[in-house]
Amino acid sequence: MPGKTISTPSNLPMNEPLLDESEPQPQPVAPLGKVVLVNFLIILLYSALQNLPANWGIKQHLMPPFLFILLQMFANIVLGVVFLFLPKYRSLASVLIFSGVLIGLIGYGTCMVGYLFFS
Amino acid sequence: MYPFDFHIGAAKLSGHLMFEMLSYTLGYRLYVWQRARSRDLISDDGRMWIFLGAALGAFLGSHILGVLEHPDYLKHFNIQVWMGQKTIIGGLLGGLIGVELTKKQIGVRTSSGDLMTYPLIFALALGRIGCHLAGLTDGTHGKPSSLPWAVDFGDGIPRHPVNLYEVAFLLLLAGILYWREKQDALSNGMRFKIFMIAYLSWRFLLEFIKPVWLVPGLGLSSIQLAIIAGWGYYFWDWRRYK
Repeated sequence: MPGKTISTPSNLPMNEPLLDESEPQPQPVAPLGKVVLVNFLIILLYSALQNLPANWGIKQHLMPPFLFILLQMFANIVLGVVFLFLPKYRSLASVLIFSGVLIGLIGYGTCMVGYLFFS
Repeated sequence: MYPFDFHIGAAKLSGHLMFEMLSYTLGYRLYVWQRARSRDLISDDGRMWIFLGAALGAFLGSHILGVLEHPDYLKHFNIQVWMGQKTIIGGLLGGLIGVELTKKQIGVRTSSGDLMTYPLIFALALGRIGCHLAGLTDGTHGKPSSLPWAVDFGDGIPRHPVNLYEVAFLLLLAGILYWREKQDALSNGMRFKIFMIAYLSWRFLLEFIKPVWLVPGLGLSSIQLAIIAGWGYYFWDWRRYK
């Protein structure tokens, strides 16, 4: 038929994405910076709170920093491992496991803990 | 003055901890900024798994070498001793192993370290300021010295401020690398290799002015032996691609 344009793959614009719903779509990347930052803030807050009871003249009853950091580290890793089994959250899983390992790497060996046990 | 802490009202924050967190945070921001301005051949997801491999390797490497640096602690070995010790050299070499194993697993063949080089240098320099502020408690101070810039960390003995030497070296290394790349682009992976070899060599020399435990019969510290292994890896790598 004259004048009618038949749309075929050859005359589609080259930059037009061809959607194929059977193909897995890329997962959204989990916010690494935000998750790590929240973990850092928790450590800083706990570190700041550590000496408050003693400064106020009351008996210190907060758990030792090494125990707190160990808990924080394992909470991140366990949560990450759980998310690892949920395909939709695989990206978040790696971020949480990474944060847990990073907490273990930073939390100990600084003055906060090393100082308490080896001085 | 040492160890230096930040005081906010009745609360106290360790200067070392603050600088260490700042180093990771700002180092990561620098990496993100650099990556946005370069063509990275590795996907976001691939980068995340490489980060994870690096962190796991660094975690194991830094603590294993940290404990070996003080073999006396092995007599009372427990989780607190294990977690309380760490070294940057162990972290870098362990991280290197972790990254290489992860890349093999996820099928990444291109170099991943170039984008990490300047952030690592920046983070190391900031972290070392934290170590300096920690004074004697950190265990990274130098041997006693009569030089005019020697620092008294509170025990009345002036010592080499080795952490500040390291900050100066890192800034110089970053400057030389930047200048060299302005002259002519380095091949893929070369920036990271230059950084690693230069830093390992610097640390090898620096160990001689630190009060460290020496392996009997060798006269070298555990860190120096690990550095020799690191040199061996890069020599093998150079022979492989020669």
